[in-house]
Amino acid sequence: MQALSAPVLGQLLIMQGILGTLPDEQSIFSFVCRGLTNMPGVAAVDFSDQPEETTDDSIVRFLMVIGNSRRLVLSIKVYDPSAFAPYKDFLTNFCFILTVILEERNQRRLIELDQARLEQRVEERTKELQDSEARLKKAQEIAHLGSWEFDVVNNVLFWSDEVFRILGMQPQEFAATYDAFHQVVHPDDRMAVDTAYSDSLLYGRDTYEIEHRVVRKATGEIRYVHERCEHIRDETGRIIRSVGMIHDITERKRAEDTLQKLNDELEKRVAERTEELEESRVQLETQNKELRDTYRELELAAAARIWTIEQLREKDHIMIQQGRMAAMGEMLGNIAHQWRQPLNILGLMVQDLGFSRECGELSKEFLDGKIDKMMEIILHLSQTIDDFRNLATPDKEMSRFGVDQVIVKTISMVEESFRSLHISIDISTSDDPQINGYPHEYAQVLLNILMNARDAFSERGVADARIMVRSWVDSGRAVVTITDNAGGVDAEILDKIFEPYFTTKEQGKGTGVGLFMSKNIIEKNMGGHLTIRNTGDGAEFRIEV
Amino acid sequence: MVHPLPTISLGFTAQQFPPGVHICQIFGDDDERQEAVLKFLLSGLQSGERTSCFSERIDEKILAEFLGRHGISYIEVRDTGALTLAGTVEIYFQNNRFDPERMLAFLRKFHEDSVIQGYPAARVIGEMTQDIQYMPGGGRLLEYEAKVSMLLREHPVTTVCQYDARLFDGAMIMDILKVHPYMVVRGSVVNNPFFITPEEFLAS
Repeated sequence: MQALSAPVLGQLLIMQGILGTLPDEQSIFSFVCRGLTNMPGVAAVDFSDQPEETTDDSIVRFLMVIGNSRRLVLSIKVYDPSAFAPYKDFLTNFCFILTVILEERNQRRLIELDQARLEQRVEERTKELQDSEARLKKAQEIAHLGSWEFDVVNNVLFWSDEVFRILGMQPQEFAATYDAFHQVVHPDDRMAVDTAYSDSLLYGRDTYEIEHRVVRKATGEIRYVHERCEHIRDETGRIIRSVGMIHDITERKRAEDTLQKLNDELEKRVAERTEELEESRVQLETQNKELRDTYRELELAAAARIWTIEQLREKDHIMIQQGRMAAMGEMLGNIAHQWRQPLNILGLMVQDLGFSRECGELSKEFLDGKIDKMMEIILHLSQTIDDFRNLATPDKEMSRFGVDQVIVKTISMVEESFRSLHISIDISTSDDPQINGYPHEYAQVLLNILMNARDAFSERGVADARIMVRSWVDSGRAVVTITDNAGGVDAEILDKIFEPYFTTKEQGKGTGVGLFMSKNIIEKNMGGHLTIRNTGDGAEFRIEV
Repeated sequence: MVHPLPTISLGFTAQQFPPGVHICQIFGDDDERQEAVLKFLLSGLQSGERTSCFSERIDEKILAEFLGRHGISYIEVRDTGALTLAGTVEIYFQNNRFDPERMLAFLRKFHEDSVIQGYPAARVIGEMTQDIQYMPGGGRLLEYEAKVSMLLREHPVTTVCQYDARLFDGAMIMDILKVHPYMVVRGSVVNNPFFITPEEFLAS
């Protein structure tokens, strides 16, 4: 082994000294490789993270562990081992120094990366904070929310721009002071504001809140603010900072006042309306009671009316029955009058048969003649019954009939009866009027009017009782008048004569339905008119269909 | 009559050297560089030498203040020509190229003028910039440094060459060391064990 060379050791020392100034691994590796190549017996120098396995004894390896896991190998190819051998231990030390430096570089690189990331993060955060601050300022401006901070230790007060605005000042127009704030607090609220702050200090509270007014200097405008303060303490509990916010709640206050007024007004209106409703309710209850009473009375009245109607119906029924009975009596009377003369003739003829037999005059020719004559009379009697029956049977359907024929037929049915009462009936017809209607009902009308005249004659005892029946056509309508000389109808009752149940006859002789029914038959069933008027000595009924 | 100084101080070390030493300073931070510059210039001015600095990073204000603290007027030494400041590019890279012969002539004349002007010695501290690596003629840097060592034997201008280790490759730094007989290590000037005589270097 050769002796150590001082310059070579010096080179190693110089290299160690310069390694610290080189900026990175690459620079260090190239510096070391170039420097170590000068060493005795060295052919080549190389650094590798993953050296190849080799059995070459000429390669001397120095392992360096960088950080926790990086394994770096310095490989030195030696062509003269005896020249190189004296420096091997020194190279081991050199590699140790190199490891420290590389580790330091590695740490520095990591730190620089961290620092770069940190700086980038700081830059981003700074930008975010700037943005956030800008947004906060805008938000404070929009929300009329200002913030303040009081450095208790250094007696420095900071107001945000919005605090200045709320207090009616230009943002940051002067350094914020408590005195400046105190000046704008409404005089009536100053003591409360001072007390809120001092009490929080005195009683060791961490926060307090207060609402008070401020008076803007420039305009004198009064604004309402809500303040909230929070104290920040150091580790000994001493307050070192107070932070707070001041919120302009004037609009809210005004809205609350307006709302309160509206509520008061509403409550007042509700009370008034409630009172009105109570009065209405009482009135309604009273009216309701009255209505219930009225209803009860109406029920009683209705019951009474129903009872009355039922009574009237019963009366009507009785009257109708009486009318029917009277009509039947009238019919029987008329039949009796119609039959009396033929029956007398039949009786005389029967008596004449006996007398003729006694006289020997009862020949076959005589008997046939008598039989024919009697059968003629019997047929006449039968026809009379048919006529009365037909008169009493209502027409089922409307038909066209001759008015004169109905007049003659009707009068023939009552003429015997009227003759017995010394009432003469004269008939005067012309134009042979024809109408559409109900002939039996028409005849009933004529009969009712004739019976009415007969009763008038009887009541008043008229000596020369006459009835004149006329018929003619006037403007296409069949006109029939029945005129009597029974004295007429009292003018006061003339317009009531066709009302139902109206009668001037004595009790038991009139029902008051005859003329009512007659008017209904002519006017409602046949579309005509039935009227009455007084003549000079009697009454005249006029039937116009 | 001015007699040449037998030894000089470099300022940044207590060691004394004969005028005309050629020293290399490999630095890793700006404070180290600036401290060497200020002290080197101060010691030169204090000993009455003609003093020059070629650097892009010299701060006149700092230098004036530094000199003032040591009783030297920056304006005065500048105006008398005792102190010359110039940029690296201005001195080394005229016409955008590095010309070793021109630079060697410049140093020679600098020394001759100093002698003529009666300075007992002359010194230069200059910082080589990384542009040299990309400059036409930049490949002759090591040749230039070797020839500087030869020039200084006849024209003993004390010369300190500053190289920023952060701007040059490690292998380049090692090669630079080989052409400087002295070097600054941790504030001390030592004989450079890597030094190869200019003749030997230029022959290789």
